[in-house]
Amino acid sequence: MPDIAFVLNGRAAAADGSSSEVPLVFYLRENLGLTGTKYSCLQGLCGACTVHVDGNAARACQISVGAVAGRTVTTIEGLSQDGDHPLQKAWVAHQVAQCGFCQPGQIMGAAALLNQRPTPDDEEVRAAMSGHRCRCGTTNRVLAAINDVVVSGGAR
Amino acid sequence: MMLPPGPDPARKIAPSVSRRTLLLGIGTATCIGVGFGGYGMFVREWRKGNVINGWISIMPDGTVEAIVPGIELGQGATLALPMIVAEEMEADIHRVRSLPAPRDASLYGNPQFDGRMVTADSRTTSGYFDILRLAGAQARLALISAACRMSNWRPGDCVASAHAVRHQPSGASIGFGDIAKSGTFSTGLPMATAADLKPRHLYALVGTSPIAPRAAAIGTGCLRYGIDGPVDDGALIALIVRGDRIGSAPDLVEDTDARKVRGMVDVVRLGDGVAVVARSMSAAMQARTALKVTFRGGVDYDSRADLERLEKLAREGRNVNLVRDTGQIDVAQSGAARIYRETYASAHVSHLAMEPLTATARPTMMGLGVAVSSPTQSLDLDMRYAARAYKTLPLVVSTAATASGGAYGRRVLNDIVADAATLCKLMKQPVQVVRLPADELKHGQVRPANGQFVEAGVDEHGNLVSWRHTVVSDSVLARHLPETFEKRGRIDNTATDGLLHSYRVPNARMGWRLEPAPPTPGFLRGVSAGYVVFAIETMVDRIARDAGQDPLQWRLDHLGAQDERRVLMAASEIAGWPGNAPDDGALGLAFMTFRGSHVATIADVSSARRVRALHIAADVGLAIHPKNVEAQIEGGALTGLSIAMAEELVFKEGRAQSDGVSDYPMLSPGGMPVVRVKLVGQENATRPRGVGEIGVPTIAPAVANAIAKLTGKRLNRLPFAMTRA
Repeated sequence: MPDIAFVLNGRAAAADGSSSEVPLVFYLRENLGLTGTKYSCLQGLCGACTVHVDGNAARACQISVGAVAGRTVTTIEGLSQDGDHPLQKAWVAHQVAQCGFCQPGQIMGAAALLNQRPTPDDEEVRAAMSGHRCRCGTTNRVLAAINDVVVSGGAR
Repeated sequence: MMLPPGPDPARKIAPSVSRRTLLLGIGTATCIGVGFGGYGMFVREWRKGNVINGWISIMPDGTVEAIVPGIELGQGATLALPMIVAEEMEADIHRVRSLPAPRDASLYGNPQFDGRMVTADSRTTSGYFDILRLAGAQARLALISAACRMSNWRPGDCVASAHAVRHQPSGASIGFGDIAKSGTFSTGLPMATAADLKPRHLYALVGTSPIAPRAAAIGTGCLRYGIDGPVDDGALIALIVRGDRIGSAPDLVEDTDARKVRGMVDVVRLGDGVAVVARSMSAAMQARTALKVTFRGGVDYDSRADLERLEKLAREGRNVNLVRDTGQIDVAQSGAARIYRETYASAHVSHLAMEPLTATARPTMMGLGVAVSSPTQSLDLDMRYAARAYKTLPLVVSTAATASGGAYGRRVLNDIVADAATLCKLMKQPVQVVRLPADELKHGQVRPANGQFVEAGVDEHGNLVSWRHTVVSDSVLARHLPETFEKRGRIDNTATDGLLHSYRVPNARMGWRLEPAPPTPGFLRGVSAGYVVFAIETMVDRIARDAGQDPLQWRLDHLGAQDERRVLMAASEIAGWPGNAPDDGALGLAFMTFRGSHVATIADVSSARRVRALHIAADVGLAIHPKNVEAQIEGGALTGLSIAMAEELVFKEGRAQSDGVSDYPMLSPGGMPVVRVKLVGQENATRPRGVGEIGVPTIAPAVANAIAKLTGKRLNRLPFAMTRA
């Protein structure tokens, strides 16, 4: 089987063809050691495994390695050089995280939204983030951190 | 500055625990090995600094190593506890590194938790406050005395400040790192007493909200949780297939296809399930899909029908173990102007922490011992699970905690450790077991369903004259920790928490009846207060409104403690009670005292029954890190709201009816209300009280009381939608 070529965090990547059916989340975590992408529900409903595929938010448990052939994948590890993406900085400043497990996915979800719509209104933010579960109850701080970035124009 | 003799009364402070850990410093590192028993090597590698006492060591570069006996669950223990130490020793919190305490309850057990190492029950910060203050004060005294020996200063001329000891007459100072380098803690370690503690009005760090060191690692995905494992670990990954029906056991196992999966290692039959063991998660997933298992047996259980039964038992009130019986309830009731009776119930609820339950077990000592790591709330209880499953003694079981993706009480009785130890013993190599959320819903732990009955007698003015409250539920303690259950007189405090409300009533009888049920009961944030307070607070609200009284005023009139009344007043101020009730909605109030803290919540509910805002005032005693405390209360509130509005794990014919996040009802993140938290009385607070769970219980009644005001409908079941007409 031919290799599956894609771009991962700005670099060319090639997965063994036999990995075609492997859910992307496990390939990232087990074959590449990129454990910043978490998994939980495995139903595409909790948002913990959110990555970017061609700049759009995608649930890495619902997409196979074969499906990213020729596409561009970004994980939380590739979102910024040193954790200095405006959202990452806002997350720290707002002390958003509690257990933190869902937060890489939340940040990736928010980053995809702001890539497409740098100045979303409150309802758009809520709608985009409603697919991200957090059982610690950080939702309001998540929204506040995103709002901060939107207002300060940090995403543009 | 000179520390004046503390205005704190010389309180008796956790004598056994404090003395042992504070004495540890004498003799420096060699002492540690002795103190930690079998874990000496582990700890010595770990604490790199010059040891002052059992809690604090200092590196040559000045980094303070603070041992943290509470496990980080996202509640902020690894910041709040070191802040207490840093405050006392005048260390710069940014130069303090927290180290997790090893499993040694004799040194690091929580004095408020029978000396055990369990991070639960909202007792971590309050339980360790005194010992950490003493440890910090002792470190400060030790640093001053060492600096004096180095420079021929007199201790009376010196103070600690800003991570250094300063000689006041000369203005010279020596940094903590330089003092540590001199290695002079070995002699003459001063004993700290309550008189050495820093007085409250000099606190400069406690009460501020520095950013947690782990925040950046979380946001970049670098923080490793239990499922992330150590890099290059080589542990096998196991998933366990269990029957959907509670109590069922595997019958026929067809594993030909499963064994063909690349990366597959073995299929292992266990008592209650079948494990697929593979080299990777993806291989285990694939093998699990290919595995065919039929199950036999199991119980017949219908949770909704059973709820009716629990309610009936609560009304009957037989076989009740009383937690309070004052006055003459029967006489009082017969003289009451009016008697209110209401039956309540709440359904099974799942924790559904985001990180799947997981544990890794590795053979040690040629297979005689086992080392377990897991996202957990208790190294002690993990040890028990591992020792039992590995069939060995605690001495050769080591347990360690990884970062934890949510806990909420679920990881106290962290039974996945038993699965890991069992498979590790069978496979004779390291095994990591993962239990996916869908599997946890099928055969994990639940906050047990319950029935309640409240009977309240009032006089002609609506004042309480009698109060009877009966709860019927399964028991976490009876099921999992039977010795503790017996020791506590067959009363499970996690099934009765919340029953003893603060309202003045001369005749009261509160009790609980154990009624076992098939789903495995577990601790869930707030435990029984999560439903008991719902019953109490909707009942008193109804009494107040029927008497034509303002529910806030009724509560004020029935509370004796000034602190409690102050919290109610604070909530009314932030919510604008009662004058600013929104035109198209209503406000509802609830109050409780729980874990030593007082909480008043006012819910703002729209006419479409959307919860728009939760205004919460809380007196938690001293908030070490206020922003963290607010986050805990807010998070608890959203949990409480989700349970009130949506959550129910239904069982039919012994099978959980939820297959995953898809069909376990929860409040959507898009539907979260504004939550405002106001901490009351910080300026004079001197001691922390419980925080972790206190956000949960008042939400359901506050919202229910608002809905009652809006519609006249009294809600009596959780989730609300199950309310009986």
